[in-house]
Amino acid sequence: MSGTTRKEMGLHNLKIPTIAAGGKKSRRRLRTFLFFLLPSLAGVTLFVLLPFLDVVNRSFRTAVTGDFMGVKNYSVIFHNQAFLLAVKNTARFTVVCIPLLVLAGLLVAFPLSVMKEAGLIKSVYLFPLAMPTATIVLVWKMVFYRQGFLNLFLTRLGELTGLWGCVSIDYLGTGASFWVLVASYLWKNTGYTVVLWLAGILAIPNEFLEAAKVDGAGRWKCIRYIILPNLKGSFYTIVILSFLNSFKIYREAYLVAGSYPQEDIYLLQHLFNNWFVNMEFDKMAAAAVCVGVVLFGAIMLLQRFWDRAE
Amino acid sequence: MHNNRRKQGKVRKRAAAFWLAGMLAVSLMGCGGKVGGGENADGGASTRGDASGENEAMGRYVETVTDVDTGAIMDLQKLADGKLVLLENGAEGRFSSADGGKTWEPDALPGWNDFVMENAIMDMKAVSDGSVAVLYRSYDSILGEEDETGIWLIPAQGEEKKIGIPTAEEELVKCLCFSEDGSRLFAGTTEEKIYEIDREAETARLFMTTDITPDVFCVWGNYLAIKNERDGVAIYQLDKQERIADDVITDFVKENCETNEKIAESTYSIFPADKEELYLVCGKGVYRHTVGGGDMEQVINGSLCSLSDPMKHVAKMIRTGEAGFLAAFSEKTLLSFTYDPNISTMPSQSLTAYSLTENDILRRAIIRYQGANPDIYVEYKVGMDEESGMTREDAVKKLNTEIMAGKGPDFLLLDGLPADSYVEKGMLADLTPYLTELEKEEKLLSNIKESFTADEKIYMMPAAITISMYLTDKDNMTNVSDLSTLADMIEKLRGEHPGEGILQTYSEEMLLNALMPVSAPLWIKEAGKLNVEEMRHYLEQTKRIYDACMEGLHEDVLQRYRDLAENGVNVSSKIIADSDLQDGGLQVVSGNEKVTLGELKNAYNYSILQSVNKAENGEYGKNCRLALTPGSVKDSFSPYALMGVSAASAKTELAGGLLREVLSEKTQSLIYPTGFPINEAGLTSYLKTLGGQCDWAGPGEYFGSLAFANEDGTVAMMITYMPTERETKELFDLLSSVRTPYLADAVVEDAVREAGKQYLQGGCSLEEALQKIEEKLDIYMAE
Repeated sequence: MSGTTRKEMGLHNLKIPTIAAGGKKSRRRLRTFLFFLLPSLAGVTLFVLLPFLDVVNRSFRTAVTGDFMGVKNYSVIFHNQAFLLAVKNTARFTVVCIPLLVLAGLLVAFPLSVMKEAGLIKSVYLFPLAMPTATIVLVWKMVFYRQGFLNLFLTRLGELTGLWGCVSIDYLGTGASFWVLVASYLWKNTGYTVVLWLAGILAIPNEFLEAAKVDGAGRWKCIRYIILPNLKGSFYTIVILSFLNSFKIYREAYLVAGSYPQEDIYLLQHLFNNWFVNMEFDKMAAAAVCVGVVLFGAIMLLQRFWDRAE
Repeated sequence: MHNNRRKQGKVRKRAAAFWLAGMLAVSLMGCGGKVGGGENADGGASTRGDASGENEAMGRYVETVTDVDTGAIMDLQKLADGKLVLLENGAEGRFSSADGGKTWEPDALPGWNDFVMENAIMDMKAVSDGSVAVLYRSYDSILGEEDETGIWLIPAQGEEKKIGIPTAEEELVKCLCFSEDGSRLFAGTTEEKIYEIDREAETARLFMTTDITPDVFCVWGNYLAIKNERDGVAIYQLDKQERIADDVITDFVKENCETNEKIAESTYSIFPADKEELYLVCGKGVYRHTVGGGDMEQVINGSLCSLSDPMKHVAKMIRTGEAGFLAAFSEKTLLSFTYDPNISTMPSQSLTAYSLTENDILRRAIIRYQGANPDIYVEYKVGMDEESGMTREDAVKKLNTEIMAGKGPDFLLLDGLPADSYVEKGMLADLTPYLTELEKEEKLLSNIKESFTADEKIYMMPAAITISMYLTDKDNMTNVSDLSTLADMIEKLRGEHPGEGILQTYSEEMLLNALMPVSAPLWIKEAGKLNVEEMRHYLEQTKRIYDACMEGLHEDVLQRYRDLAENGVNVSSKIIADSDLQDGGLQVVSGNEKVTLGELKNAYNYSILQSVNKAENGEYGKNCRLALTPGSVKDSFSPYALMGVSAASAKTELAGGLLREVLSEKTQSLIYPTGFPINEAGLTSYLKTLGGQCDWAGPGEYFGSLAFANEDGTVAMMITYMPTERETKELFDLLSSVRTPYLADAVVEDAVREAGKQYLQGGCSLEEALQKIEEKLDIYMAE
């Protein structure tokens, strides 16, 4: 009854070999284990861990001369209004978008799971992922600028209904830009979330649902007691992927409004990009360490939540 | 059997795994190529040895530059007796040299002066026996009266003669060519035809029709090669008159020989080598190519000599013997290349110079620096070259990455780079020692040097400067001292001249750009805070000027502005302000405008503006005067080609040498058209010749004319004069008095320009515009 748990995925069969297990067979298995592990471990060490250690080292030094500064860089960034704004906006974006995306995907996936044409509709949902960012940005500009289609439409609507006059809002130059960014993120990422939810739903053995129905469970009870508990594994994957994808929205924000966008869509990536251009590597290293620690903590927390739920 | 199959499968899998591992290892080794040694930058045959000097490739052509006092050089030829002749479209027609091109003596063509009075010279060619052929077109013919185009033959012995060519109507003969042995003479036309001239019979016959129009062509052995700027190079077999397919040279030309837009000239040429071979000369060097062969072998590396000078083009190149070449730039310069087998193929020392965009001043200084130091190679890296399509930000990030990796350039042009941040981070070296050494012999403008001095150190220094100026009737200038009184003046002029053009204002950005240099230096306070009050003042006064300029304009004036705006003018570029100033001078002379304002970038434009009030140029401009644009900053200037030396470089001495070369009198005197020199002697000599644009007219003398057609069909003319000694001194004094550098900050400028444009258009109020600017720049300042 636990959906795609480690047991069902066959992970319970995975035994990490130890020498203590004894014997030639164990040593061979250990060699095989290391043989498969080492390349990826070497890659991660070489391309992730060592560079990150270098970043940690740089966060305590000046950018060019490399003089030791102690925690001054950390002190500087925590007093830097741009950093604080970027952290606030990035956190706000993540907190708003991920629940919305997870929920939107689930709401679309439920009806799709019982439809015969699910395959075709799935493809339609995935279409935004295939759209080049430059095209999306062009559409944004056409729709959301002061003289864009949205204002034109609202103005026409106002004229027809007589309720309001000319609408001339610069959506990308005001606080509305944040919600434009959220909408764009949802539009682009709902598709794959739906696909992941669908995979989770369709993996639930039909017998469970039929048995529940025989026991008198209605549609809601089936969802509440059978489907949702079986989707915990998918939930973890979807949240992690959505979390990581939320950082990719920077491309759209950058292309539509440049390095210095409206302050509500000024994200951490804008700040890092600008610091890189201005050679503020010391501040950037300190900020990267902070962000890395927070991200690591968040992922660990999610994983713990997942493990505990199992 | 089953076991065998499993074993075979295992073996195959292992083999595949080893093969993949091997490939991975090989590819990783491939990534770690040796830097700095090996092949030269152009991929030519020349190689450089290892640090120990063993296996070091030796031998290279060394260049000697000779300036010659000639007109445009049309041909060079080595005569049978060893003498060299040079044909030029100037006072003599021909010069000769008996010492291999070191010195040249006039060797006037008989009757040359009379001939050029009546005819335009289209081409000239000499042959080894001393005979000369001149392709001419009579001025009467050019004016559409009697058509007379032909070849004037001056044989080494015997009588001169003129031979006509039976071309069709609208067909013009463009160029001439002797076969290598001098026995045959050909002429190429605009209709892709080659005529052969029978010098004995004094006739011309159609020899062949080609695929492309010849700009230059050469005949040697059994080949005829044609070069056309647009279509490349086509090679034909002379006997069969058939084209030889040669993709190698075609592709090479496409990739390496782009037309030089700066001088609107071709940048490459061809000339014969041996029996089956052809030379191609371009900015990248001299290449030898076997007809139909598979490669282009580099013989001379252009980056090590003057061939890479972006302001020049090779008019003609010849081989002067087994170990030498002689090339003529059309701009009165001869390059003699002699092979020296005793020096290394690549210079032993190297230096990296960097600029965000291609910079002619630096390029020319590098050529001179390398010429004076043959053992130093300067690699010039351009961050945003046209091919890469890289944005400024991407290029700066790439540069910063290289700097942090310890592979940054030794010498930098800081235009467009975060110069302040580089100084703050300790990335730039103090230039004082290099400037002190330079000033032992030469003197820089002290005002400029002082304006870049902080705590007795100088971290950056411009190669040139520009100043913002305006021109109008001197009576209008009374009481004009800042932006608000300038706006008062424009409003007063609007009242006096309803409907007429006041200050050519075809876009909001144009006006915002033009007034930035006299206000923007105050926009950021020392504490890193925005000076909102100064921005408010700037926007308010710009709006007043804009409104006054645009108020009640007649439709024809508006149409002129629209046409200018639609002609693809890059309004965000600073160059526009310069062309506005020159064009504005013409508009003042014609009475279309009352004021012109913008960035003065060179002495040529200064001479035009000073010519506005000359009597020959009519009533409208007769009382006009030129002055520094009034603004919140009274003495601002814009530095151009801001130089710095990397503090992390191990070659700071070499980089300092390059800095001194850029600031040397000779290099500075040739800065054109992007700014005024800051070397005192260089500036004096620059002002004398308008940056090399006019070396034949004295102070106050006539040197040209400008004209443009009005919408109503009338033509406005303007006679231009060299500045008088008084005017030259005034400019020198002005350049010696400015003290506040306007270091453009792209982020601040963009924010002001964007909000300012809306404000000028009436799309938002002043407060809203300021709020937008603040919102945008608050983040920038906070970073």
